[in-house]
Amino acid sequence: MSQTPLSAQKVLSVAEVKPPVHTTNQQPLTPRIITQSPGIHSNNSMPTINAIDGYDPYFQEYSLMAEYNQVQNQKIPGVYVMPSALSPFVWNGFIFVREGLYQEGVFRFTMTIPDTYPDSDCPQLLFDFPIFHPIIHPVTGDLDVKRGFPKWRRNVNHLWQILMYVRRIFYKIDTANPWNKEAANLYEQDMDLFKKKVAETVRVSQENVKKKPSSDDPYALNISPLDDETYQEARKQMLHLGRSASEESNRPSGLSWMHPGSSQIFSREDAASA
Amino acid sequence: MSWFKRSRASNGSAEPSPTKERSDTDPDTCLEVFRNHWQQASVIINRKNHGKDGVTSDEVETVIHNFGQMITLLVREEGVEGMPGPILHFFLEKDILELFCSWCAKSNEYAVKLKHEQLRMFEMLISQSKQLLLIHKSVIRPLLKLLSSCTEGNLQSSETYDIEHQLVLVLHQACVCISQQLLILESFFCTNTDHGPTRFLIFSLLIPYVHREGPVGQHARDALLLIMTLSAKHPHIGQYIATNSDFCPVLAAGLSGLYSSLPRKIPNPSDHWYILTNEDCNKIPELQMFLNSLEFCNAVVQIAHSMVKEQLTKYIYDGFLLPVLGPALHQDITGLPIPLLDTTMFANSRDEVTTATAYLDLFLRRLTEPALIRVFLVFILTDKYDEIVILESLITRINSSSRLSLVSLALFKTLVELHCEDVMFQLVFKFLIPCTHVMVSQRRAVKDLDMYSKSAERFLSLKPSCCMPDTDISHHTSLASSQSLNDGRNGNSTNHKTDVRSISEELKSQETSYMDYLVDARGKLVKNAEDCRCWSAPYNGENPTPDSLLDSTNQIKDRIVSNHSQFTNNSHSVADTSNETLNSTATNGERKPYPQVKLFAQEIDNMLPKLDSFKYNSGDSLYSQGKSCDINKNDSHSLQDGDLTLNSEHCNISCTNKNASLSELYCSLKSNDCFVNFLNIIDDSDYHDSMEQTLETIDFMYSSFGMSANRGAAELGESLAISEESEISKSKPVEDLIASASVSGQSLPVSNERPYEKITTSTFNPGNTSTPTGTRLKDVSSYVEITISGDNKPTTSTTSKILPDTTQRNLSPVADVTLSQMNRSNDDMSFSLAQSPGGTLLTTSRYSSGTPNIGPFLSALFSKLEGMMQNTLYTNLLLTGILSQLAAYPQPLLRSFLLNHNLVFQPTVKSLVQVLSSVRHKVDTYSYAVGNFSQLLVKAKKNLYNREDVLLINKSDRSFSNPTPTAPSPTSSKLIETTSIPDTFIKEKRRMTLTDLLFRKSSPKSGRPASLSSGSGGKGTQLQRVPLRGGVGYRYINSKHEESPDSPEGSIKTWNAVYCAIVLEEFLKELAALAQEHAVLHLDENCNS
Repeated sequence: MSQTPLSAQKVLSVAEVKPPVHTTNQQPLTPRIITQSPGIHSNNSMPTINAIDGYDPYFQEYSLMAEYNQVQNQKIPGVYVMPSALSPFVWNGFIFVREGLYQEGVFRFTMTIPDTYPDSDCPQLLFDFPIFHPIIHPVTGDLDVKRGFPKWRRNVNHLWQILMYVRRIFYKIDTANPWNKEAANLYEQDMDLFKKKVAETVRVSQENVKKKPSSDDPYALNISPLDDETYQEARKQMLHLGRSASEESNRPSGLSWMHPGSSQIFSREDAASA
Repeated sequence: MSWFKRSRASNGSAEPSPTKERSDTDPDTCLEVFRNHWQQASVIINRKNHGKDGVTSDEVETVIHNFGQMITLLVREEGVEGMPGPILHFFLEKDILELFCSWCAKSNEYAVKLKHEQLRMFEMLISQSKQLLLIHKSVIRPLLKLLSSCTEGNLQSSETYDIEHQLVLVLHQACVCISQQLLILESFFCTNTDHGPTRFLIFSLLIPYVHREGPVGQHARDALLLIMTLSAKHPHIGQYIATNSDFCPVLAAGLSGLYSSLPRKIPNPSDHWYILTNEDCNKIPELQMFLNSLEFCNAVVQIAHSMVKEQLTKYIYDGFLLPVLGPALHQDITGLPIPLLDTTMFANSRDEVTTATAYLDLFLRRLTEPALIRVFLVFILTDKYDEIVILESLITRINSSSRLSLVSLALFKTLVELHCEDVMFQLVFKFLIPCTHVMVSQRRAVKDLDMYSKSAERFLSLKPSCCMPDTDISHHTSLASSQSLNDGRNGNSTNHKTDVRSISEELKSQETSYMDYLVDARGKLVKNAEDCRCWSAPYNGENPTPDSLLDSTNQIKDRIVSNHSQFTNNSHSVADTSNETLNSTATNGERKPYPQVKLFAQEIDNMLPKLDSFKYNSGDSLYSQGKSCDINKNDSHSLQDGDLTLNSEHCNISCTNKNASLSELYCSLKSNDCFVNFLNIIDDSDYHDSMEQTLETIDFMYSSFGMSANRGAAELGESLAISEESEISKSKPVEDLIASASVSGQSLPVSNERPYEKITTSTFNPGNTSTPTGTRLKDVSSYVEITISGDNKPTTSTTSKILPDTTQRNLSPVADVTLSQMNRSNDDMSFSLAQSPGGTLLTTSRYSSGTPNIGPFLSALFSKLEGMMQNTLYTNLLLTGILSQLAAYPQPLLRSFLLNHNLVFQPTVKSLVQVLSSVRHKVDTYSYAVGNFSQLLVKAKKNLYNREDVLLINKSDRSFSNPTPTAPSPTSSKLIETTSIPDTFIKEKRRMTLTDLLFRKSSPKSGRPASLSSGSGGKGTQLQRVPLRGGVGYRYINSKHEESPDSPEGSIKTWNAVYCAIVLEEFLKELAALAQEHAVLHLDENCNS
């Protein structure tokens, strides 16, 4: 159980040192891994099951797992997220800004999903320090998520969309109804100063990243310099991605004598085995 | 692989330890001793070679003794730098072996003894010699001579065994040698002789022993496997074995022979026996022998040359499966309808067929080699016996009420667990691929994943209320009081009140962990998905394409298919083409007789009790009413006039066989629940009257419908004209037609034979409708809205208008259309009645008819599931076990069919949720009627936990003749009461998933305890076997207590219901867990939603 988040972290650090492979490096975080790890089953407060209501935590957590799977599949560039070990409703993440005004910024954030998910308000997103940005709160570091998701609707809105949104705010800056009026004003009137302030924010973010995360969450994301062992390990894992599953378990025992596309049973002599 | 291990072990053990003893001794001394012995022996050998008088026994002893000494010396000699040592050199030079053997061969009096000694010495030579002997001509020649002399059958039976044993040992040793030193092979595999048995003598000699029991057979088979391994590397050997030896036919014929000596019935099986376990096999030596041979075949197929493999599987198929197992699986009951099959008249054949089915199941479980499994599956899936595909016979038997059902289910469980595409295609996917079971608008939803666990929620919501501790309290207190009013005899009502709290707590403590189910589901899904990676298609509703199966059905279809491309392209010429297809269907249909008319009244009678029971359902359907209303709106919107009319045309046209699908009207209603709701909403006081009215209406419609049918083609032409007038939406109806054409074509013979003796137990309870008025109105509107939408009439929401309205519609030109719809719905209802296991009717006809078809297998399972309340615990465990196995398959078509509660099916297709909710209602209704149901529930659960423990502790105690003490039968629960288990123990056990244990590690047999069948030493409780129509029933009689014989508390029926409630509860959890895991495991399939 504890091994999976570790490997996920390793992969994460690999990813950042070697940006060119960033599209594939999220794959080790397959649904298989994540559904075991992030405290989703590890809740000690198991629901007492005597009616259908008792199952709500299960439904919720499985919905969150499904959401997480979607996030995995979206492979949002530069955005990494990991559910907390303490609560499935808290996801820790990083965003690496790769171009634009906030280029080279590395922002740590925490996404908090309402308890009533999926029939809830939209999730909250909090940066670990108040990034200088028109729609990020200058004191708390809260992101104005609501502006992107005025009404949160299940089946329509998904958590990966929030992450997409987070990424977008650093490329397309919206100054309407700003939470940080100063930033908005500067952006519109004094671009040079705005850029200066942003550069400062980026510098702070890079400093921040080097610090250990403040939370006591075992799955909190952490960035450390790459050492060769970790790299080789992760590399091996990636190279064996397809095969790993079958190696772990017993030999698959499925059978088929059907030619692809034939819709005819026993259309071939030799069995295709997995 | 055990074969190899075994052979190696025997090889190793043959090597004795005291080899060092003389190895230090001087080689020259050894040679001297050797020569001395030879000197003494040769005196006798040579003399007898000259003189003609017989040898004495002393002389024989002398020779044997000396020769034995020589062999010992020879065996211990080491070679010198790869060259023969001095003794061997001498031995070969003098051709000693040859001399000795030919001397032996001349003796008549001591022939047997000498042969035995020779073999013993050869065995020693081959197995223990430190030098390679079998490359020397002067060793091989006498050996081969000796071996061939052994085949000459001049031995007496008493002596045979010894000789044979020695012979096989020698052969085995030779084979071991060959496999270690390939050099030797060529000296035994003569290329100069003809292709007869002498060409590879040691092989030919082994064949007769292949089916022998005991060590002889074992050694022979080990030796043969060594040769098989060789054959894989040396094609010429493989070729020889396959084409010039009788190895393969002998093997196959041997299977047949051994099979025929198997017991035709399992001796004294317990009531719940359904599967042959290892322990069972050990108790039947004949079966063990058969399995030895079967496993040998399996091993041969695994390692031998491909030619041998091919030959062997072919011979097993032609020589064992078809001529032996085929008849055994059918006896004289081929094609017998289930009600007849279940009568005592066929009890004997039934038992034999049951046993044969259990054998087949066992064989399938034992095989591991794909090539061999393949022939077994080809046999089961495609071969016919007496014109009926074996698979169909097997499927039919699922709904037998005898043990045959259990055993058949067990076989299907084995089949389903093979994770074999061909099996699943034939059982399931063939019928799901066309996607006709799903509403057209929903077909794209097949791949959808249930992100918010809504299906799981739905399943869990079906939990019987008697299993829920909390609600139980209120229920029982109210029930207890009402009981004291109603039931004077039952004086326990006060006790009930006080017990309720503790029972409720106990139920809570017995709750199984949902977590376990999730973990279990995950494991299953991962394994299953992995196994299915070798499959040829994903079965996701797109690949194979829904129309990919159309070209293989029947001629009508062929005609349609020729035009099919036009349809799929949504071409404008649809009208023409559909006309043509309709005509073709029509002419086809007209040839059929129309026998049902007279029986219709009867069928309506049958409908009545069903309608009554639907009242219970109405509550449930209301639960989903909100949703289905929405859907209805959408659908009616898309269905407007066009679809509706065309489909009614379609109904009209295939009317003559009347088994075709329900109309689209009912599709849009999601199920005929709505029709029932419509009946429900009729005012309570009017209920009876309006019911009669309805019947009249239906009757009238029916007769006019019959007339229209008789009028034939002209009428059809007319209605076709109507269909052309209304703008028809294209592809869908045509698709339906295509499907229905094929299906109805196949099913007609069946439907004509369908017997109509249905039981009517229609007592009507007019004052029973409990639906609140508010929801009723809602129902009305939804019903009306949809009914009327075809005519574009304004919606009327008063109940009174509905009936006249419908009648009017019948008189209008569209009458035939509507009426056929009505007829269909009625027909469908009577079918579902026929299906309910309470009635003893055929169940085959329903699903084989009609357009949307989920195939006989799923239908049979569902119909068995509908009777869950009447099934025994074991049946239900098996049944739900199969279904959960099916639900663990990753293919979206199957997954969505079983688990997606949101998917809207065609009305003739029941969903798993529907079936389960009807079971839930039956259980709940029954539990209300039985006063102490929850007490029984607690007892039964304890019993199951206890049984689990027993199974875990004593795993070997699992055989058909050995009932375990914890049987799920009436007395056993009493037994549990006395041996109360500490609660902590139960709690510990709860880590295990209850059903997991039941399904996967269950003792199949744990029969009725002796006390039950034998009357239990004067306790007054007795189980009576009561011959019933179509089988045997049990009546539990407790003479001591005041309960009447069929008091619900003691009866089998009650216990079945109690266990049914438990299994249902666990099954629902299992399904919910599977649904949830599906959603998170395969999301990658449609991530871009």
